[in-house]
Amino acid sequence: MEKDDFYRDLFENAHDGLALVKLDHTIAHINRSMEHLLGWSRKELIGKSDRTVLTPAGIALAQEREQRLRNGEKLSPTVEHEFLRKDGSTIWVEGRVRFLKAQDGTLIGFKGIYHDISERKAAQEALQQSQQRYQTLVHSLDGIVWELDAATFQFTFVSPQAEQLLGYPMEQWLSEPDFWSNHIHPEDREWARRFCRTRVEEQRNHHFDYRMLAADGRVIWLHDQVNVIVKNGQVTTLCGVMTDISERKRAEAERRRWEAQLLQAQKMEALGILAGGVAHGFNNILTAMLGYSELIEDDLPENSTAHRNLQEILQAGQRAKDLIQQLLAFSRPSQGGKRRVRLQSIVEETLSFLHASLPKTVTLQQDLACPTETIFADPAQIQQVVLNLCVNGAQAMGKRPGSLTVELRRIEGENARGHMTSGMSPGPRLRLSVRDTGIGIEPEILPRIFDPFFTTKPVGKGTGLGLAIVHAVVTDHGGTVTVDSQLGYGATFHVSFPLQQTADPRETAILKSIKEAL
Amino acid sequence: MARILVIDDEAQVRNVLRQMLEKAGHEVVEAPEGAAGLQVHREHLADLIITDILMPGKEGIETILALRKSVPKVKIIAISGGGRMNKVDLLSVAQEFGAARTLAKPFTRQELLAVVQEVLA
Repeated sequence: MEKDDFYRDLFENAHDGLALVKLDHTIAHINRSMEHLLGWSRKELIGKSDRTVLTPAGIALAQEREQRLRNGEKLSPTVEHEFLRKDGSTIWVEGRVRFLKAQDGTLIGFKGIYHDISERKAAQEALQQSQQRYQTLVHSLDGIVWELDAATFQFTFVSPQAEQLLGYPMEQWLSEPDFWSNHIHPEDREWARRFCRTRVEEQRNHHFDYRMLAADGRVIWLHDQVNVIVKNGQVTTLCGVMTDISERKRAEAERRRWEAQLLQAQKMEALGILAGGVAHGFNNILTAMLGYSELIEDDLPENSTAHRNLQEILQAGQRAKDLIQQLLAFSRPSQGGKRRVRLQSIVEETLSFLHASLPKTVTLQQDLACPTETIFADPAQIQQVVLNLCVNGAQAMGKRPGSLTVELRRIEGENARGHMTSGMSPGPRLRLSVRDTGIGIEPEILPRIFDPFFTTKPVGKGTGLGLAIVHAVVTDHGGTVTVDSQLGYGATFHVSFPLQQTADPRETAILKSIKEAL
Repeated sequence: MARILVIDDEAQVRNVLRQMLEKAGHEVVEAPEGAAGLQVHREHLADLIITDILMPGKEGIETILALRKSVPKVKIIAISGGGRMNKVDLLSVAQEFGAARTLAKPFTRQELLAVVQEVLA
């Protein structure tokens, strides 16, 4: 084969499209592949302007390159652009363009070698779209999308919500070593780290709820969904989404609190009914036992052993009677005994006779600031409440010196919100606080301290009814009782009652109904 | 000395009250519940009626109302071991409905006799 024939054959049968274009843009020659690329036959194209097969963007690109060439710039031989096909469609090509010079060095045209890159372009576009979609998704997600290096536990990516949610700049998330565990709530840090690391070792995806501390100190509850990415048997990356669930957690806590209160109320109600029934039966039995004992007493010589023994029976009976009286505090309705009273007077009166019975080691301090305010209450029962709280406080201090502070304050509805509980009416209240400097209350027993018969005192030293009576009486008076205590730092009981500003409608209604019945 | 009707469903309570009152010189008649009490009262015309509140049959408040209606001037002492019914203090109600005095069980002989004396006076 002749040399010319060889090149012709090479040109004609090349896999890539080949074109020779003169300096005036006239197409001088194209090969078969080029015909295929463009959809035009060479007969139709030769002699025509190359603008015939260029899109406006392609023309602009060509003009720009020519300008740069004229300016003496060195051009990259590789170009990417679209050709306009005969049928009006376009096709992406990658071309290598070389300029043709005459022997004297004058520019006479260029040759281009083109191949179809439609598939690559489509893939690129799809990738771009997918990246766009992914970015939109990451940005619109109501949570922090994150990625972390499994070896260092350092974040390699966090979405912008990270900064918005917790207030730390993105750079800090990405650069601070151990950022994640540094900012977990101290109470959750150890277990959360341990949990996550164990699951990673097991190569298991996992999710968990924990608290993180925001830059401004707020506590944020997060639900973290973690995917463990394994390559060649090794965990390389963790990625996931942290969602802010603080609101849900708050709602859950609130619901649990309400449920506990409801349960407590139901428990007290049931116990009240039970206590009432038991008390009624026992009082009848005691009436007989004490009554017959008194009758026997008439027939016994005063100095006899039998007489002395009988005195013991009578004393035991009296103790049983007292116990029943306390039991009845749950069930005894006090409606009849309720009236408008000055709480401060009752407190002062109670403290005056309590003072003498307190151990010398206890200093009693009074800070009463509501001399005229009234509540609707049974004075005897309120006295019992004050007494029980003070005696309890004094006992908590044991033989160690300490102080018992009794405070009375008027609090407005807003201020009272911290202690707002079910059944509590809004509006101003009187709050009685009894604070001791005793041993404090263990957190584990806090939920049980108002339960009847619950006591931490040695057997025989307490009935376990003191605080239960406080709770029953206060609740019956539309009030609330709460306690603040830290082990080793004493305890403060707060009892609050609705302030009585006008004549109580219940009082009026009861009197009216009784008068009508009579 | 007076004739006293004791109405209580507990025989032991009735008996101990009878002995206490008799030792103090009173005459005592008994009934185990309200309806029987009204019958005994019709037969014996007591000067004073001591009645329990929670009893099977005709209970105390009902008995007091019936007595008030038929014998408005009869003197009544209500006694009760407490208990609760619709959050109403039964002894307070008894007093509102016409009992001259009330006594919460258990009470001493001294307390009983003092109240009886006061009501009869």
